[in-house]
This record gives sequence, structure tokens and C-alpha cells, in this order.
Amino acid sequence: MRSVRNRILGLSMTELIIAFVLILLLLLYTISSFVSSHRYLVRGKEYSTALFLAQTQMEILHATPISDVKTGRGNFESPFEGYVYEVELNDWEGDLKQLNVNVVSPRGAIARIKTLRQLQSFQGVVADPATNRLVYATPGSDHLHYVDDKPNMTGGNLGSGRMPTALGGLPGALAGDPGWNFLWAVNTTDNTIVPYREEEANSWGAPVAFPAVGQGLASPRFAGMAMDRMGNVVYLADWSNRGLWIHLDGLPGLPAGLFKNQIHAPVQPPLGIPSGVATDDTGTLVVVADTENQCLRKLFVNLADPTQTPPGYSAEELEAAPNVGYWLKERLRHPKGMGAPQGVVLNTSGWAVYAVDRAYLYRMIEEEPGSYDWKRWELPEAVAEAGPSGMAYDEFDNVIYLLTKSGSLWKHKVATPEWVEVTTP
Amino acid sequence: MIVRSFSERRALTLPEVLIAGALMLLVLGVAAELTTMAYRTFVRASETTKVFQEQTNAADLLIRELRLCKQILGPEEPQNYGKDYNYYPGTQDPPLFFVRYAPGLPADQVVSYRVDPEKRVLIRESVELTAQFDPANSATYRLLDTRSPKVLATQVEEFVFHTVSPDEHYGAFFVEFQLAVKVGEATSRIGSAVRVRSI
Repeated sequence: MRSVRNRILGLSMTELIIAFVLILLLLLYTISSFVSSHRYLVRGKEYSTALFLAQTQMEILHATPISDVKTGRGNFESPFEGYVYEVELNDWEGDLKQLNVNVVSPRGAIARIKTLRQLQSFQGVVADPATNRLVYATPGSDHLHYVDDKPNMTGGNLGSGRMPTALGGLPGALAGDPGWNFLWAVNTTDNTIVPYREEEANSWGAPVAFPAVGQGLASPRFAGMAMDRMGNVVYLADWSNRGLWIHLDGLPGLPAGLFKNQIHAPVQPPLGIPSGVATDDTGTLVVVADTENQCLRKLFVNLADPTQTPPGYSAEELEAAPNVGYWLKERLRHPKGMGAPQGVVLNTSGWAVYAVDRAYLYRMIEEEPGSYDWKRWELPEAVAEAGPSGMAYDEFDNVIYLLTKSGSLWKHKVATPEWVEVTTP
Repeated sequence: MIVRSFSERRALTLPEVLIAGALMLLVLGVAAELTTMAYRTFVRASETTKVFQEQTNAADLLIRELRLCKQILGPEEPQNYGKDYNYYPGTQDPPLFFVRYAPGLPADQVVSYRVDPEKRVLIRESVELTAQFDPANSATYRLLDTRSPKVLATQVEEFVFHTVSPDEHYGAFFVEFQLAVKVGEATSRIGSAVRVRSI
């Protein structure tokens, strides 16, 4: 009876304590909300900083040749020493690698940036239509190799082996006519180009160096090289700097050496990573395989009068290439699309362009300026799996030679289903 | 059955009312204080977030423009590479001027970035240079957009810039900058390295 009276008159001690605990919990919850909100604000700020640092790291890695990208963890310099980055390079597909940069802030906010980078390949094969001699580079060998091909589709040869003198580095892209003392090779070890003089006891000439470092360009990495018939002009496709270098020798009125000591590239639209380059007999038409934008680009060269526009094109279709000529703005690709081209060749007149990606061989014929007739043929499975790297064209026999990344050589009679692997040493 | 007496059913006494009132005031006071704190925190967080967002956007725009940079006009000696040659555009040094490609426009553009030390804001301007251009002399260039300077970031604490030797990155030209803003006690610093086409 007494307890009931007490209850009517007021709260018991237990009830009071519970009430206070509830109020305390409410207060704690409110305070923790403020603290959490502040923590998320700081974390959000750190995430922004981490994102910029990740972009910075990626920007630096983009200027780094893929072969030199180092994976692992590291710390940024002051005042961002609390941020940790990690670089990962994972297999993606074919010769593509996924490059990941993760940056972790002091409070654990993680910024992730990913991109795809392609392993460099070389257009390391040339053919001479008159002698049916092929010269090509193979992975890991400092010698050039040759094949005297049989003019049939058996895949056999009249002789093959390696050229007698080693380069002293690993040869990559090649240009010229084997057997005619006009052969150039890229030394991928030091990124120079070196002439090969077959008439001078098969010896290598003096290398030509490139003045890239110190001029704001990354060290050049040459994926492709092309030469006119007379050996006066050599075009080099620079993988690192997304442009072309031009080397002259023997053109009247123009000094021998690197033309203007600079790289040549269109701006609008820009050239992506070039994987190959080809030119006609006169060296006035250049076609570049743009593997990044999955297209072909054309450069009209007129070193004697670079302001003269190529006939049949309007000024709106062209972009001036200072001192060189004009770039065609159009990105050329098959109407049904095109993969990343891995190699490109022209016939002697420049009328027909052949290009190869990982799945198809393409032919583009310019019937009149700006009007193109495209055809494509599917690559055999074995060739596609081996991964095309470069091409050479024998116009007399209408035969395409295709070098794969593993160093195997394939031969194809254009417009027929025939593909045979050429027997090599 | 409980039969309540008259005294048990009485109204509250004055001390009970006073105590109850005091307790209620106390609770309301605490609640009001918490509400005020929450409101202040919200306002401060909103202001801070706004300033940080401006900072992020400013840094992003600067990065995009620097990627198109083909020549740096101020600092006058951009070949002095590294942090030993830190440059403070608008505060200790003249504004940062550079020529950038302008895709879609007939000619390249010259832009400047500087901090107004009094207003603590980061300003971007499109400018036209005279033949006597001197980054330190505003009479030697004129604004192309005269409506108003574009204020990209407020509460700017520091904007520091320097160029990086191409030897460090396979021959490629890089510049680095840091943009710090401060709201109350909260400071945010963003730093970035950007590859430029040329300096």
C-alpha cells in the first residue's frame, strides 16, 4: 500500500536513473552525429586531395614508357607525406595492360584511377618486291633475320638466316629495301636509328640520335618507320610522343639529318599513339596507323612548298603541318569500324593502303579525294592469336607479309583466303 | 481497490512547479544549445564545402588549361626548374601567364592566374599582350573579357607554382602547383603535377 502511494506521488530512483540514461544516450547520439559529420567532411576533403594526387601519379606514368613502369607502393613528398600510393599493372586483353593507381589518405579515403596501356609493338619487317627478300626483327635477337621467299604460296624459302653483324642492341622497326643498301633499323635499346649498309660488308652505320630530352618530349620510342624509294626521307612513328619524326638525307636544298629537329603532329584532332607508318615511293604521302584512336591518318608532304594544299581537298579538311605540308583532319576507318591498327603499308603510288588490326586485314582505296572504297578480310585464328605486329607489301605479287609479336612470319595473297606461315630459321 | 484521499489527488505544489519548470528550462536550454550548435556546424560545413568545391574546380580548370600550355610567359625564366624556384603568382610574384592552344578558336589564347592577396581569391583572366609585355606591369597587357575577373576560388591561403626539369620524366615537361584554402581552422591543400606541351 505504501509503495503504491509513493508511486502516485513521484518517480522511483530506478525510473529516474533510466530517464537520465535515456537523456544521456540521446545527447551522446546527437554529439556523435556532429563528430561523424565532421569526420566525413574531413574525409571528403582528403578524398579530393587523394584524387588529385592519383591524377598526378597517373600523369607521370603516362609519360613513362610502359616497359619502365614500376609497380608497388610509395609515399608522396611533403606536404602530402601522409598519402600512400600503389601502382598496379595487370593483364587485360591481348597486349593491353590495365594500369591502376590507388591513393590512400591518412583517414583511409581511397581514390582509384584506372587506364589501359598497350605494350609496344614494332613494324619490324620489310620486303623487296624485286628480289622477294624479306628482312625482319625477332624478339630478343640483336641480329636482323632474312628470308628469300619463294614466289608461291607454299611457305617454303630459297634461303634464310640471320644477317652477319649484330646491332649491339635490339632492332625494332625497319624501313628500306633489303638488298639495295637502303636499310634502316631502330635500335630499341637506345632509341636511335641506324643505317645498315649491305654493300659495306653488312655493317651498321653511325646511329642518328634524337634530341628529345630537354625539349619537353618524352624519350622517343619508335613503333614504325617508313622510307621513300630513293632513301632520301625516313618517317618515324614515335609511340611516346604521338607524332612523327622526319629524317632527311640527300634532298637538294635541305640539310641532312632530323628535319627541323622537332616532332610533327596534328593538333585538331590530335594524333593518338602511332603503331606504324607508311609512305609512297616519292615520300609525299604518309599514312599513320593511330592505334589509340583506332583509325588511319594522312599527311601530305611537300617540303619544297609546304603551304601548297594538296589538290582535291578544301582548307576546312586540312590542318597545316608547319614546314611539312598538311594533315588530313579526317580519321579514316572502315565503315563498320576498326580495331587498333597494328601495321600499315602502301603500294608504290600510294593509291592502296593496307592496314591490319587484331582481327582483320583492311584495304582502303582512295578513288578520288575524300572518297574511299574499303574492304576487309578476317585474319585466320592462328594469325590473330599470334598478334600482328607489322606488315610489308610485295606489290608485284600482290602479297602481304605479316610479322607477329612472337616473331613468326605469315604470307597472304591479297583478296584470296590463302594464308601460309613462312618457314624461318 | 485503491481509494485516493483528497490530499493524494491535490494539484502540484509551488516548489514542485518551480522544480519542474527549472528542469524543463534546463532541458529546453540544452536542446536549444544543441540545435544552435547543429545549425552553426551545418552552416560552417556548407561554407567549408563550398570553398573546397571551388578549390577543386579551380584546380581542375587550371590542370585542363595547363595541359594545352605551349609557352610559359611568367615566370620569365621557366627553365629554372624545381622547388628552389617556387613562384607565388599575384602575391610575391607577378601573375602566372601562359599561352595555350585553343581548339576550335582561330588563334592561341593567353591566360593568367593570380591571387588577389587582399580579397584572398584566385583569379583567371584571358589577356592580350602588347609588344612590350612585362608580367609585372599590368599596363603591358589588357583583359579580353572586361565584364569581371573570373574568381575561381575564395579563401585562398597559398598558390604556389614551379616547373619540373624534363630530365625527371623521360624528357616530358611538367609543372607542379599547390592551391591551399583555409576556412576557419580547416585548411585544404591540393597539389598536382601536369604535363604541358612546352614551356
